[in-house]
Amino acid sequence: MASEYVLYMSGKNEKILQAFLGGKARARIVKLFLHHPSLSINVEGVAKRVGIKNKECNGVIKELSNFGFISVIKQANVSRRKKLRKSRSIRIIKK
Amino acid sequence: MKKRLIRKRNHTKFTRHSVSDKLYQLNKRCSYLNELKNFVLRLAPPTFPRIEKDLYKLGRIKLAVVTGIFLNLKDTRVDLMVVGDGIDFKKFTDFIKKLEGDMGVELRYVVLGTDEFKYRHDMFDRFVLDILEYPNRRVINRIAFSC
Repeated sequence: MASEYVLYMSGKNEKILQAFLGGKARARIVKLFLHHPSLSINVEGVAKRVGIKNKECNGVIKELSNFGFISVIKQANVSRRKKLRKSRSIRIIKK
Repeated sequence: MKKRLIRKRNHTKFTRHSVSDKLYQLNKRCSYLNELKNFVLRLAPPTFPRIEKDLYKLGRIKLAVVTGIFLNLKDTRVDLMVVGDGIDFKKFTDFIKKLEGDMGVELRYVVLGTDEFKYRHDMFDRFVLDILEYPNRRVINRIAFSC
């Protein structure tokens, strides 16, 4: 990902953006996605980059997702378990 | 009779991470995307007097030339050229970051010492001459040179 230079505006511009988009978190998240259109990221990543709490970020992302501004692109492996290869499963066949 | 034994794998416990499973991306088919983009990216850019005021705080600045993205020009070598002595580079980096945040793009800038600038200018260095010959605006001009 590119540097995070786009996330923070100077006072006046940031205030304008916050006023129109309804809150600091929303303004920053919208800005992040607009400046990096091809970025695919999870909630924690967004929260870390934008500088807000995970819980708040989760709520805002849900809203934006419902609005249609962002979309879910991938459901990652839930248990984080590595996919098993066939050759690893040992079979003992007895006659 | 065939007996088929399948040795079960020792299942280790996988602790579930707190990291969420879903990855999000900008929906390019969103109907208000262009409007939002225009609104966010075209908020009032920093004015030249403000840049001048900020630059004075960084050190003994003799010359500051803005071109490129500041004047809506595309084919320029750099966007900002600063000539001066005793520049606090930590402050300068912060200043650039702030400016990049306002502009919404990565800036190309060059910082030169006064002696180096004079030397380059006197020997008709292509880089310096290109910056000074292309359309530009001198935010700070306290140096005597002919161009």
